[in-house]
Amino acid sequence: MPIKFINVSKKFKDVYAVKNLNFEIDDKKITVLIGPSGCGKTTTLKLINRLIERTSGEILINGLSIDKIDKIELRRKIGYVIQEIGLFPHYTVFDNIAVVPKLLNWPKNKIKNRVIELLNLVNLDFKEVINKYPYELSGGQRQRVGVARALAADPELLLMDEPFGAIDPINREILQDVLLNIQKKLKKTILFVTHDIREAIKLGDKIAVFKDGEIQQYDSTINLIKNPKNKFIENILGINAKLNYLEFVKVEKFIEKDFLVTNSISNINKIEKECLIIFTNKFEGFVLKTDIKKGHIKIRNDYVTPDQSVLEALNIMFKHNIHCLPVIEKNNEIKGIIKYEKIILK
Amino acid sequence: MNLFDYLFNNYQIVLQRTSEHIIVFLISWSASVLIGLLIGILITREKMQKYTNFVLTLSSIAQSIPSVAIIALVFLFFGIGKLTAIFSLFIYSLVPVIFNTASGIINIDKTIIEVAEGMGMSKKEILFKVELLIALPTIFSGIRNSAVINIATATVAAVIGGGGLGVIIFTGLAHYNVSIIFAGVLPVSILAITIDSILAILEKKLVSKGLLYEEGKL
Ligand SMILES: Nc1ncnc2c1ncn2[C@@H]1O[C@H](COP(=O)(O)OP(=O)(O)O)[C@@H](O)[C@H]1O
Ligand SMILES: [Mg+2]
Repeated sequence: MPIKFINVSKKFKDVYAVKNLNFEIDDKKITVLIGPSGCGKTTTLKLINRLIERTSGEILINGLSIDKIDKIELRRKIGYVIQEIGLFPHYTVFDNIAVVPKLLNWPKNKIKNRVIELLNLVNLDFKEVINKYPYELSGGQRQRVGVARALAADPELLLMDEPFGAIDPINREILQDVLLNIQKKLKKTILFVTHDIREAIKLGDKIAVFKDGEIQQYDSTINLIKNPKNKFIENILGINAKLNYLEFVKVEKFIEKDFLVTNSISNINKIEKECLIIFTNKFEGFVLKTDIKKGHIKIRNDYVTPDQSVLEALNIMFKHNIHCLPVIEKNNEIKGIIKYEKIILK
Repeated sequence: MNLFDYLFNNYQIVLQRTSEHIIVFLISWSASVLIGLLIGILITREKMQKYTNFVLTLSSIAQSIPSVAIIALVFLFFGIGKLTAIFSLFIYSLVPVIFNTASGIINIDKTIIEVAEGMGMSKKEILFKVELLIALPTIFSGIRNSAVINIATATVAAVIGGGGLGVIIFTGLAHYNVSIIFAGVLPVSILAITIDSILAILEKKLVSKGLLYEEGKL
């Protein structure tokens, strides 16, 4: 569900919580809202499910004004996850996840199957947790249940307000990976609030930086990192932003086809492409154009898989002082190559 | 003279006074539970929330007024009789139900209510599936408190025509007769303990196990 904000403002008494928001949230992508405390992130989220009513402007979901949709119905179609204490303490894990399906009068069997499916999706052992109460779970487990609950009725849109903010760093990384995996499978439109830039870079397809209720910059993650509009954005990004980006972005985003495949190197003294991949029925190694020019052929064995991080690929390149690497799937399928210039230029 | 003399020799009278006592209790107490819950819920609704604290303060003050004072006041307006007794008992045991219902609901973490709203629960669904269930332990302690207070105060209400076991006790007091006093005190105590135990069992059945551990916020 794409969402469009047109001149949206919200005033509490005389003070703007958000002011003149004009932006569009892409369908089936993760959009991250980031900014200092009190800058209007939560307000923006709550304007969408109408926990807060805007003072002026228009919000369109699928091109339709949110005022035209019944409030209760709208909310049941939107998953909502908040930090920490969002679970109902008097309900078991099962009942917590089943809330919206029950409101929608799903048959019992369907609910049961759905709950089990969702617990698997968030990597929880359903037999272990399904009858537990929130107080019996760890913080990380609770947050997983929170995510599962938000997904229960298969909403197209997910609003997540600092969902992992109270979780320790190690478990936060794990939960982020869980979310990315879910997103890969389910392709939801996700609006994710955080104040952790690392989290924003890791999760966000796009990032909107807020300050004092206004959007300072809204761009794809890579564009934001490459072209911060002002000092404020630079400060938010911090010194590790580029490195973080390379750490989280996957090799698959940089695959090129500038290679040839051969099953023998016996009579090679010249190649047209950058890289020659030697392949019989599995990956045997590769030869670089530059390695031939030097008069002798050097066969190298390194490679990366598409789901490795670009930082890992760079590491290997630096180690061997080379400018490209083959990208090979775990089942030995050749995906292409990844080039140093492309990473640095992009 | 044996402590049990009067009880054994006049058990029919004692039984009759006991059943009077139970009837007066049941009528006045169930009315106060019903109306107390209703008022407690009403004053915590969104539109009434500006009055919630006022009512809570008022009812906590009312709780410290001695029962005799209430009985005397109601007596002044309505005169002697069973209805007067029932009415004053109703008023007196109403207060803890209102207080606990309202404070139980008002003390629920606001984010939980907001999440419920955000998930698309209607006001009614939030009341019955979230607010009342989470406030249930507090509500129950109000209801139990109200029952015990009611049974005890019903004894005093005998002086304005309420009947019941208070009649036996006051007779015993007037004659300095321990055996008669005992014949009133014993059943009234058993009654209070029994009712409270029944309510305790009910509470255990109805209150979610998830609320038993209030170790910090969940
Ligand atoms: N219910 C409210 N009443 C009054 N002011 C509010 C309310 N909610 C938020 N605000 C104010 O609006 C601004 C934005 O708040 P919020 O959206 O919660 O910020 P963030 O989530 O980015 O920390 C803050 O200045 C906050 O104090
Ligand atoms: Mg916030």
